[in-house]
Amino acid sequence: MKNNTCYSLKNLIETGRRLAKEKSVVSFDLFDTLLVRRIHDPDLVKLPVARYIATLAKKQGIKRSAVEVQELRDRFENEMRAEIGRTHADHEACYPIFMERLLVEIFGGLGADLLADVTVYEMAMENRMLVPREELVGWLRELSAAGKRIFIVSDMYLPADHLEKLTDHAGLSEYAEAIISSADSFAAKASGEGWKLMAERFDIQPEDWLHVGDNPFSDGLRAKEAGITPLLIHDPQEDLRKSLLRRYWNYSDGKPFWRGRLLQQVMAPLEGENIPREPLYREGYNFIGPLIGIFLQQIREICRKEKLSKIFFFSREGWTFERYWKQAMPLIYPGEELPEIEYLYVSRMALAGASCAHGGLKKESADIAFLPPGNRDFTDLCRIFSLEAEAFTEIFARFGLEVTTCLSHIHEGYRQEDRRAFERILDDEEFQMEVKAQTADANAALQKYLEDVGFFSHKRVAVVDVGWLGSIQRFLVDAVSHRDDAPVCRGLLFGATRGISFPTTGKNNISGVIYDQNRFDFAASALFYARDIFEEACRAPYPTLNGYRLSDNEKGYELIFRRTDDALGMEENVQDSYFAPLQQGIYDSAVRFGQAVRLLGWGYRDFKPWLNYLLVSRLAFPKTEEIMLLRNRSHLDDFHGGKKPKAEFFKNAGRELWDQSERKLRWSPLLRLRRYLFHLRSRLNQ
Amino acid sequence: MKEKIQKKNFDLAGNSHARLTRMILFAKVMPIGNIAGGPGIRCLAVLSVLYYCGWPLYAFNARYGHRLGRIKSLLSRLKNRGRV
Repeated sequence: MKNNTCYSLKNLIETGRRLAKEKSVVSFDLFDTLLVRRIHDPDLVKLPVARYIATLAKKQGIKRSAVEVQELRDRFENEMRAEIGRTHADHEACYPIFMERLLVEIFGGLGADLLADVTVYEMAMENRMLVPREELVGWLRELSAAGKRIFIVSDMYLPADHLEKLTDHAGLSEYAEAIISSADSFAAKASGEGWKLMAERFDIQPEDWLHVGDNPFSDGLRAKEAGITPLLIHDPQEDLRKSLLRRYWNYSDGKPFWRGRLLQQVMAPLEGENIPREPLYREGYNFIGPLIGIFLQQIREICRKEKLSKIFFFSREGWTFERYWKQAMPLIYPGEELPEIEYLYVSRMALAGASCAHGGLKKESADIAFLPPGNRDFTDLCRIFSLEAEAFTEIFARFGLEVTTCLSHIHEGYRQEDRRAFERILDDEEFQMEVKAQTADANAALQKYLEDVGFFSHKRVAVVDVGWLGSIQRFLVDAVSHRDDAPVCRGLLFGATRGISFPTTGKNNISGVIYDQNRFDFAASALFYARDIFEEACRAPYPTLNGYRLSDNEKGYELIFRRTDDALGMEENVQDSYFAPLQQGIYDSAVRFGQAVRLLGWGYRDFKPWLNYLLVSRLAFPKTEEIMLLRNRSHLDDFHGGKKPKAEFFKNAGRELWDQSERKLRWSPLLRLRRYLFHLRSRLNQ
Repeated sequence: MKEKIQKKNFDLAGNSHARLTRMILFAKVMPIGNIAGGPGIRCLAVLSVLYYCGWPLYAFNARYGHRLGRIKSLLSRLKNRGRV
């Protein structure tokens, strides 16, 4: 009788339905039949387990590298197989036995729950790498509903109770009468002994039995010899998928460029997970999600190196970073102590005023406030720093100015002498006293909030933000620098553009992780093309924070959020709804990112070449559809005023690639190349 | 339009192999930054074959691969020729 070999799942199930009509028992092989792995080589799952054991050993002061652990494991497993082979037909091994031997060898004994701890971790790693084959599982449910006896059988070093954890996770256990593993009896399908044992144990007549598997020898020939009807699957799609993975893995060894690509391939959804998704979701999953993951992983490494025990995620972008961190980092660093994390409700608007209470309004702060083109005069500064303009009228008059005198060079009516006069006002004691008096309450409320969240409980903290000038950190440090218990703030930005010089001191500094202007990184400078995308993609779905206020409530302060019922607020709500699928894609990618990174054992330096390619490809040479999809409809920020600058200012405005019309994006010849050359020139000149 | 994240040929939506190949060819004439030496033209070529011709090749191999032992052995000898 020839083997029934099918070359697609559809064909397998059709054939199987026909054959199963005459049978009362159907058994399935588990791995590469009911379940497939995200990676090409099942042994790769052992590597993170070896790293985990090495981490546990390090905690107890035992120095063993992951490579040594893996070599020991392989040796003990092979020795067990050889020993079993002397008394049994099959050379089988049993996981708890050789793992116990390994752990005793490394730790000198089995501490409380050590084997259980390692086993739980290995099963979790296996579960993360295994995906049920949707169509086959559907057929299995059908067979179970039709009253067939279902068994799941595997030649594996994991005993049946361990395999049950995998089948439980995949939702298969409820349909199977029993899970059988060669590790329990050392009788495998490969020698045929496993079939005999199963038939005796479960009282199955071979002529009544259909077995579905992938191995032509164990599942095919040996089953046939035992009188069982075999049905084999040899899926060329699976062969192709594994071939791609194997090539990426092999190429990554000599060419680091491929490591990021392999990461994304391992992250990719399979089988039932891979359902059609909206375009924004795909952008979040395949582009922005991995970028954020790599960014946060590098933050973890910086915190480890610089012994930073707490991370504060800033502003609305920090909300997304915090959520991503919570899902991905525990997967990448199991058994290790991660820094505490906290989300801080801060924003430029909220902190600007509070930052002036002790040091007054600084020139650099004023310069930052005049950066947005819509800000023209002192009334705009008052809006940003929560000041009452009328109280300054007399002071301005002494210097020959009004509060509405133009102080921005891109607006009509600007005179350089007016700006110099304003800078003299900033040195005026009466002016600064008024500024401090008006912002004292906001600062006091901020202090209460920061005390409440434990900001002053750590000596050194990391503060994480999307970028770009580090203004939030600047304002925050200004607001708390008068305190002896103010922590050292290590600013870690997604991108540091450094448009305005940052006041770096021993207690306050910033660096860009993905991009930093202080180190020449041309590929990462592609961020300049569309910084707003990252802000919009990462923005939290709550209104922007406008300030802090003292209150009679229990806490003594309250956070003032921007209203949502005005035109701007409602536009924001619409924008939030629009980008919701993008954010969902980002969050869904977090777990897969963590799993993939843990498996591969790589970090920022390994992924940087691919990341550089992604940034240039997606930001400098995007498709028109991608720009239309991701381009923010309205970047809403009360920091920006509404006054119109001079017409000649607009000459250069709107020339950016991501600001072009759809018609130009599609039809303007060599548009992307021209903008790229312009970008290249500006980066080199900088 | 809804589309799967991983396409039928296992390429990634939005980060396709074709897009990568075009960018790498562009990088031969214009700097794009540090990509650690790049992907290698041979690797790109092999992956192109897999992505765009892979299914029929593997489908043929699944059905008739066992009959191609001699050809596979010859190809293996050619590949290893010159290697110790």
